[in-house]
Amino acid sequence: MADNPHRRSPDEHSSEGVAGAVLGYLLAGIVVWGFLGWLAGEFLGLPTGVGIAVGMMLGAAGAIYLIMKRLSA
Amino acid sequence: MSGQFIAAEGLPWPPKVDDFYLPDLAGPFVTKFTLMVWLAVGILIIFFMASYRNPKLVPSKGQWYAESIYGLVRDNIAREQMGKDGIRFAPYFTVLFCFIAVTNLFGVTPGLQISPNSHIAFPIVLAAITYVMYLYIGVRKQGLGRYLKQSLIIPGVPWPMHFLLIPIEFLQNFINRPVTLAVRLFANMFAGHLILLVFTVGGFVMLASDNIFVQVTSIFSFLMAILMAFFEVLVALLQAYVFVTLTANYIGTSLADGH
Repeated sequence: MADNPHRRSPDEHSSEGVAGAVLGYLLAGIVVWGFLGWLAGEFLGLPTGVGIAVGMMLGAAGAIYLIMKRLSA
Repeated sequence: MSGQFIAAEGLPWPPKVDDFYLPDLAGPFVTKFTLMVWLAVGILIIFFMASYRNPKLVPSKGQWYAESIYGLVRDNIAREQMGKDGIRFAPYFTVLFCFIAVTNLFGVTPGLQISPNSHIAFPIVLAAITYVMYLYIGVRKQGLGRYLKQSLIIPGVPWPMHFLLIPIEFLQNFINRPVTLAVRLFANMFAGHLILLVFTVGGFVMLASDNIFVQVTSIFSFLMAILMAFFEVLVALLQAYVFVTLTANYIGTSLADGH
């Protein structure tokens, strides 16, 4: 990780760092977009639960996309 | 009945989370935890001063221990996570590792029996130092704008995706990291203390029972307490290692060149 944080060198052993990052991104995505979805749902007057559900799925998808971009070789 | 037995042993009964908030010992804000932190600092200062007061090419035993710890942190943590940039951070990482390891080991030291890190305040301070450090180093190395850009914006992504990704990156890099760093250390030490408490106090309660079979079974509770004490030694050292490794990882990310 000396020169590029987004590339894993093949000899890197710090699975703690990578595993933590994957889990953190997934949680962060679901939490932040779940909250924004809930906010949007309240604001737009959608039926209860629709905004938060859409937001959480969007967040999970975004997080997976982000993990692929950031952490894959 | 068993409650009276425990009370006779001088244990708070029933045990509560409030027991982790220790009473003042010598003036305001000076609790057992405070004294233990001073003790840890004193032990480390004396240990490193004594082992390097008269360094030799062929090291004495104390010097060998000190050099081994420093070598472990420099090669296995600093260089592993940060490359050759990490060497200049190795002294800080060594002190951090030793401090966390010693305070964690207080949890299984007879007479002390609890780690300061099982009170959330101490891990919060340690994590705050790491947090300020990696933000400051990142901003100083790259400037505020470039640091934020590197932390939040992924290169090679179609631009509408940034609306989706920047909030996730922000939460991950600037909020989750320090919080998980503090909570991981705190929760491990807190849970470890509770496990030892459950098996030890549980053993005494079973021993105080009227039933002979329950009294005999208390042996297993005490054996489990001893086993868990050794397990706690492992957890103490492992958590110190993980804390320092993640600190090195975060600082390394701040130091990394942009794209």
